[in-house]
Amino acid sequence: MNVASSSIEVRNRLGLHARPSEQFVKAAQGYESDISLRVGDRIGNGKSIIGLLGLGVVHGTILEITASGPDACEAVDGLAALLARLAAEEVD
Amino acid sequence: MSFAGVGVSPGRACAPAFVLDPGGTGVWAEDHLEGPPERHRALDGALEVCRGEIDELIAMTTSRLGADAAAIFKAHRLIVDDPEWLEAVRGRIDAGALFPVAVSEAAEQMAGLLRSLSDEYLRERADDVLDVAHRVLVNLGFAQNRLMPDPGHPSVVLVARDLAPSDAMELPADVVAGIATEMGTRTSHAAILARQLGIPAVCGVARLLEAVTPGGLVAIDGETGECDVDPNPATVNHYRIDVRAVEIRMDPVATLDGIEIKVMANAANYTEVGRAASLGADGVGLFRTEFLFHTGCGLEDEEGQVRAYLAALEASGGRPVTFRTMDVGGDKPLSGLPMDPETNPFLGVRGIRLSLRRSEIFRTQLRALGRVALEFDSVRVMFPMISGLEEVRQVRQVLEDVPGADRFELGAMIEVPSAALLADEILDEVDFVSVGTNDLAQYVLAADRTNPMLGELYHELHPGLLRILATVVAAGRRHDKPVGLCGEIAGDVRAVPLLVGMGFRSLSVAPPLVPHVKARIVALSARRAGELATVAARARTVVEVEALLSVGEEGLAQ
Repeated sequence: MNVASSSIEVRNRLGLHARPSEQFVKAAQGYESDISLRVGDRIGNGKSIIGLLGLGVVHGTILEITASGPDACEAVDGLAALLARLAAEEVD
Repeated sequence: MSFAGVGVSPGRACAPAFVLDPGGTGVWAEDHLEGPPERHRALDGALEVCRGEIDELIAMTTSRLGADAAAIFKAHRLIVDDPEWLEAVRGRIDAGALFPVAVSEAAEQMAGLLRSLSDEYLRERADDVLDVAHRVLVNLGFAQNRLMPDPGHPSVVLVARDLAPSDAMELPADVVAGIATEMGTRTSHAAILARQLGIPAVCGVARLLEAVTPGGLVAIDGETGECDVDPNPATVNHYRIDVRAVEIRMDPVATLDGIEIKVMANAANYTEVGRAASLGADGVGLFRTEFLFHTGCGLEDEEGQVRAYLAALEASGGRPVTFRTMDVGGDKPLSGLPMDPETNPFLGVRGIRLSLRRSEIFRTQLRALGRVALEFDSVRVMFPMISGLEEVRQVRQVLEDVPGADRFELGAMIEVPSAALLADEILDEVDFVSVGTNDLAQYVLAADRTNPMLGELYHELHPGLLRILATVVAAGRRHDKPVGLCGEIAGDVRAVPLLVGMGFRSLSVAPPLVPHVKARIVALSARRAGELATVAARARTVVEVEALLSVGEEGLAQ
């Protein structure tokens, strides 16, 4: 089984609010791999909106994304890219 | 007695209180379900119903308030299927808990997790979990929806401990003059929705319910957060004069150089039409008839439709109402009208395509519209998803034996690229066209606007789209027939100069935006706006177009 992991600083001004968290979870659900998220000592299921919101991600939080499964690498790359884009969109 | 709360939605209101009962959780001794297997099945069934209900709520919110507001309910949709929550519910069911206990305890556990966070916004999300759990319980008869004032009830200030987002979307907007709650903050979804609905609201008013008697006067100021229970007569007047930032202009407005621009409203029922009229809308540019079908339990019969259309025309007070015939399809399903699954519903049987295939439903709708056209002069009827002349002609053929249809002002929606390119030919055979930019943009750009991965591709001011819009406006000019625009972009006040400059003479927007759009128009020179549009027509990228939107008010005045 493949495992991939990456840490990303969340740059959205307001952290992950309704729209970005919804988009993140939807994207995570699109991967076959299990997605686990970690902020400090809190761990959440990346395919669960409650799990994600419960991590208390705010601006500047370092979010560690770990995927395990057949598409682990694609999942981590895809989700990291999505986070970057969600932050960039906010700038306009 | 005066209270201090937090103003979360601007405007003032003073009206008798309508106290929303707290809708507390019951105590359950039994649930009439036999054992875990039956409870799991009951859960599956309830979740399925919730999915459908929330999908409809998303569709309704998207078209009334836009995609951003609907994000709230998209999150609810995810909560329905949330693996963590469901695991907690199912675990309790397996351990022998009664159904309502399992659902509410699991939701409370999840809500508790969110409430422990330091970020205010994230804490508020606990309410979303409880709102969804409540919906599940209501569906199996374990809880009841809170009693709202009926449409047509005299104006009230809604007083509640708290307001769930789905409560907020079900508010009869014509009845609720203001909202005051004990709980909640600026970032509560209910507060967000109140702002978008244009209803003044005050949150966080401690011990409000103790002081209020149902029917007693309550006054609020949604800007300062003041809340007055049983105000004295002198202060009543202060609250009744609603000093909104923007003047309401009841008459049609013109640019500084005298070009008249109609500002119409989008609406889905007569209360919204009435509200639009009171905010100075010059008519209804888009009446979404499919919502008449959504609110009933199935397809509305001819009599029901006639009543709804007459009510809308009366509420509009002689100003024209543009009825768009039923726009449903695989992407906007309708309970009571089962459809075959399609691999690509956005390119499938929707809009006029569905109407022409289900001609019994279409004819019923046209007969109803024909009957109201015999009583009112101002009935405009337009058809969604027209792709070419074939469909225009088929529609005309259906109309031949509909009494009253000869009195329609007949229009086509321009939202399929082929129709935009054929606008000249289409205008030969109809009286007006109206551009629906939401759909047109997604078809021109081949980007699903609801797909988060494509967010940066979907843009209603993409230079490619602007060039197509220019084609449609030019066709209208050649035929001297009206070209309107209804879509999110019309309500973006920054885009108004560009749209006016391109030649649009009628914009249709959400009712609360009407005064804002009118205010922008009267401060605008159409000549300068035209120059702006000329530059925009040469734009190569979205960024170049965006830069033009930031040209300030002064720059476009003379």
